[in-house]
Formats: sequence, C-alpha cells, structure tokens
Amino acid sequence: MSDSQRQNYTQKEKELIFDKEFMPFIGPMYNFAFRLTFDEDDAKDLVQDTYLKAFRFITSFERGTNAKAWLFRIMKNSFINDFRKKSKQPAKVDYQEVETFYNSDDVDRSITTDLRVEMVQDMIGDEISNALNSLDVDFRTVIILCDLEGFKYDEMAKILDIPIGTVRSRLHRARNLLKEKLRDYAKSMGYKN
Amino acid sequence: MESNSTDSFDKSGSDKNASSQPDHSKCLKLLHLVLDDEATPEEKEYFEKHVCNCMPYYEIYHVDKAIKTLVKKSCCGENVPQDLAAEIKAKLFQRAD
Repeated sequence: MSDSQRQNYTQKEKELIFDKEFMPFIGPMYNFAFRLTFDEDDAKDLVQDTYLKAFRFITSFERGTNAKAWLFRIMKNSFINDFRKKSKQPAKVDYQEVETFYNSDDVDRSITTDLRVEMVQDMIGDEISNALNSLDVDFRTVIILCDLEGFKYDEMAKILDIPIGTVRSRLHRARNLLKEKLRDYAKSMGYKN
Repeated sequence: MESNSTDSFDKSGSDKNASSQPDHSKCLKLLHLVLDDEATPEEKEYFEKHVCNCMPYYEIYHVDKAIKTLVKKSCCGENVPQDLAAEIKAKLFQRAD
C-alpha cells in the first residue's frame, strides 16, 4: 500500500477500530491459531502476535472493509514466517512439492464413493476434528477457511496469496484426503460398503 | 464476485449436455462450486439436473455436504482463554503510550 492509500487515523479512531472491528473475531482467530499449532500456549501467542501486528499496521486497514479476512491473512503470514520456525509442531510439507502436486493431474483423480451419508452422520465430533487435525497444515487451512469460517474463494486467495484456481484444487484435494481419513475410521468401526 | 465460477464451465455445451448425456468431469468440477455457494445460477441448474439423474454424484454431493456441515459444527469450539483479550489490550496500551 502506498503512502497515499494509508489511512489517517487518530489514536482514538485506531482504538475504536481495534475494539469494534478486530476484537469481535478473537474467537475464530484463536480457533484458527489452535488448529495451526495444536498447543494452547502457542495459539495464545499467535493470536497476541497477530493482534499486535494488526494494530501496528492499522493505517493499512480501511475502516468498514473485511477485517476478518485481513486478520486471518496476518495470522497466516505470522504462522509461516515467524511461528512455524519456533513452533512445537514442525512443518511436515515441503511447499514446492505440495504445489507441484497440486498442479499435477492427480488432483482430479479420485472420487470417493465408498463413504455414505449415514456413516458421516453417525460420526461424532471427535472423529471429524481428529481427521481434520491429521491433515497437513496447507490442506487443513483451506478447509478451516472455507468450511469453518465461510470465506469465499476470492477471500481465501487473498489470505493465502495464491490464485483462485489453486484454492479450488487445494480444497478439492484436502476434501478427498479428509474423506479418506473418515472412510478409514468408518471401516475401523465396522461399516461395510 | 465476477469470476467466482469455474472457467471450465462451457455455457455453449451446457444445454445440450443437460438434456442428454451430462459431462461427468464438468459435474465434478462444479460439485465444490455448488457446495461452497460459488456457482453461477446456470452452473447450479446444470449440476442439479445432472445430480438428480446420477446416483454416484448424488451420493458424493450429499456426503461432501454432510462433512462440510459436521466440520462446521464440530471444529469451531476452542474456548478462548478468558484473559487473552485483556492481555492483548494491556500490551497495546503500553505500546500506545
């Protein structure tokens, strides 16, 4: 953002924006942080770090625009650039490998037909939550942003700094992986096709 | 959003396909757009026509929809630590001074 696009807020206006536009999202922010780090203290630190950065760069935020997406973008960047390095949860996925895979023909390969609606509906929250948590962070993130937080594809593209086409293919792949985990669970519980 | 839909959706072929043999690969691409409320009305109509006549896609769509609903219901319940908001404001207040 150029200097001319920066907002001129008084200290009082900054505090008002922070209170009215940023703080209402502390719940979703903490949930996202926890699902990135899997640790309560790390999640707390990540949320704090995000909010402190949001206030520091508040002149880049235009009042009344999408504060939630803006905050999620800051958190995602904080997690990747700062937090992942010191987090107790090491990065499992090499980014280049992931993107190469997304762009391969395999993305549209699988159609999981052996999971049925009644199997899914019989699952309790823990199974879904554990299956989601077991996905690599890049796949987990798109499902959280889309299904939990209800972001649109264009908002996710901005949050993640990737093209909309990559959002779609990553989401497609993430959902298939999630279904594989749930299908394995269903089988272990004695469901048969 | 102007380009929220799939660029792979071929409007010129949609009427023909909807009335005769639907294009499965096209439907697969539309499935998530419909699920995520990102499809255009034309794409949604095409998809729904196909899904009504295709049992595997009907099942896949409803499984995906059930998972999406359960994810939403089951995975957003982390309780925010009570002191977190106050701690953030305290740090900011110190910095703002």
